[in-house]
Amino acid sequence: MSSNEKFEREFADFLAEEDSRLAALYRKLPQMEPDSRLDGAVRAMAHRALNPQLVATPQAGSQSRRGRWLPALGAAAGVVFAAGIAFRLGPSWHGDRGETGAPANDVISIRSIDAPPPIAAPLSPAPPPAESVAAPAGAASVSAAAKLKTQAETETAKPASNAEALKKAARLDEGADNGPAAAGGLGKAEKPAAVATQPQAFPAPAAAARKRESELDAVERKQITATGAWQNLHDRDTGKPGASAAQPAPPVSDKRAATAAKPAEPQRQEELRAASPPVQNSVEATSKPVQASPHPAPGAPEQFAPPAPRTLAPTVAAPAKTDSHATDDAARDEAVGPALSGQTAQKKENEKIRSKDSNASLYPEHWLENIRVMLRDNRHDDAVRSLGEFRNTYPDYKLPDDLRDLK
Amino acid sequence: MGAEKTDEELMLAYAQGDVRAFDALYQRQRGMLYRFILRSINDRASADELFQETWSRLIASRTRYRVESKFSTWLLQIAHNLIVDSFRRARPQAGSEETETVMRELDAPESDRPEPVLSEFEQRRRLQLALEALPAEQREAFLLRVESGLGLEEIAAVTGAGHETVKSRLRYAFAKLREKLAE
Repeated sequence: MSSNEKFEREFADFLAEEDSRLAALYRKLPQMEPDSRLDGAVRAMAHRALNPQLVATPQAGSQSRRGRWLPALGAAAGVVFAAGIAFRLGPSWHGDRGETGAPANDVISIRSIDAPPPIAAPLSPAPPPAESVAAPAGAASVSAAAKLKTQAETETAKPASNAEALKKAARLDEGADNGPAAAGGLGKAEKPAAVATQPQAFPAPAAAARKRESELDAVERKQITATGAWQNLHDRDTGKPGASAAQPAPPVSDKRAATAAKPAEPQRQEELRAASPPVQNSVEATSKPVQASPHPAPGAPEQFAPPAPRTLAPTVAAPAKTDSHATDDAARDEAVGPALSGQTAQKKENEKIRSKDSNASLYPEHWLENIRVMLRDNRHDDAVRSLGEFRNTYPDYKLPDDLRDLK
Repeated sequence: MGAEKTDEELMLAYAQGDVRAFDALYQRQRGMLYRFILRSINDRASADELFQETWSRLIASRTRYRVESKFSTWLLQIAHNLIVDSFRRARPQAGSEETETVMRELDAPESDRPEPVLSEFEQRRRLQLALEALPAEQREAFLLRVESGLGLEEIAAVTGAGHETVKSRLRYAFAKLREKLAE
C-alpha cells in the first residue's frame, strides 16, 4: 500500500468520524475548561438578561452600601485620630502652661512651709528664742512629721487620699504637741501652725474673724469665697477642729504683717538657697505643678495654701531678719500676752511670712488689683513693696500702665 | 428535566424565561466551546474574553433563536465569527503558504533526531504545537471536526465556507498534523 493510499484511507476514517489515530491523540490533550469566575459571569449574565433587577441589584447594592459606609468610617477614624493626638499632647499642654508662668488659673504650685524653720536654724546667726526651746532629740521626729505633712500636701491631685494624709499629719502634729514623750520630744516651736498654741497667741476667735473680715478687700474675698477657702478660714477662726488642724496658712492674713515685712537681701537669699537641704528640694521637685480642681471639695485646705513664690524660701529661712521688723500684729500680741513664749514668737514669725505671701498666693491680676486697692487706701509704701514682690515673683509679667511707673 | 431535553429545547426554554434550562445548556457546552476558542487563538485571556462574548451574544439573541440547525452549530458559528474578528484585529500574520515554508525550513531531518520513537507525552506536545502552527482556517476546520464533532456540512455552515473548501482545509490540516507526528 502506497503512502497516498494509506493517507486517503486514514483521512476517510477521520471524516467518517471513526476513531482515527489523530483523533485519539487529540482527545488525550488537556481538557481545558473555563474557570468558575467565568462560569459565574456567564450565568449571572444569563440571569440578568431575564430579570435585570434580581441580579444587578446585589452588586450595585453592595457597592452603594460600601459607598455609604466609607464616609462614616472615615469620619470615625478621624475622630479617633484626633482624640489620640489630644490624649498624647494633653499632659504637655498642661506642662507648658505651668512652665511659662502663664496665669495658671487651675495650677497651684505647692511648697511646704513647715520645713523651712528647722532648715534655717543652723544657718541663722542669731537663732530666735523659740528655737532654743526645741529639743534636739526631737529633730528627727519633727522632720518626719514635716515630711509626712508635706507629702500629704503634695498629693493635692488626689482629694480623697489627700484628706486622709492631712488628717494623719494633723494627728501627728497634735500628738507631738500634747505628748512629747510619744512624739519623741518634739519641739512645739517647730510647728508654726500648731493648733494647740493658737488660742494662747491670738484673741478670741470671733474677734479675730471679725477683724479679718473687715480687712479683706473685695477681690480677695471674692477669690476666697470662690475657692471655698473662706469657709475654711472661718471654721478655723471659730475653733472648729479639723479645719484649723490641717490649715497650714490662711490665703489672706494680716495685711499689716505683710506691710511690715521687708524683702530679704539678695546675698542672704543666695546663701540660703545654696544651703537648702535635700528634703526641701525633693518636695519642690515633686510638688511643682499640682493640678487643683476648679471646684475644690470642702475640707481640702491645702489647695489654698500659698504657692510659695521664689522669694519665699529665703524669706522663710531668715527668721532673724524678719524678727527685726516688728509688725503691728506682733506688737499687739506682745501687749496681749506678755508671757509670749518662744513658740508663739515662732508662730508669729510664720504668720508674718504667710501674710507676706498672701498676695503671692493670688493670681497676678488679683495681686495687681490689691496693689491698686492699697494705692486707693493711701498705703503707698505697701503698694510699692507689694509691687516689688510682684516683680520678683513674676519677672516676665507685663505690668499695666498705671502700675508700671509706681515708685 | 434539563438532561432529557435536547440542546435546542433547552435553548427555547431559556428564551421563554427558564433560567435553569440555560444552566443545563451551559453545563453541556461550556467545555467544548472553551477548548475550541482557546485552541483556535492560543491565548487564554483572549479565549476567556471571546468565550464570555460568545455567550453574551447568544443570550442577547435568545428570542431570535429558531430550531433550524443544531444548537452547537449556532453556538460555534457565533464563536467562529468572534474568532475571525479577533484575527482581523490582530497583527497581520503570515499566510498559510508562508507558514508552511517556514515550518519546513525549521524542521530538522528525521535522521538528526536523537529519539525516533517519541513518547506519548511528546506526541501530545507535538500535536499541540502542530495545531498552533496550522493556518487558522485549517485549524478551525480540524477543531470543529474533532473537538465539536461536526460533519462537513455543519462545518461549512459554521464557517460559511463551501463543502469542498471545508474538505480541502481538513485534508491539509490532517496531512500536516500527520506529518508532524510521524517525524
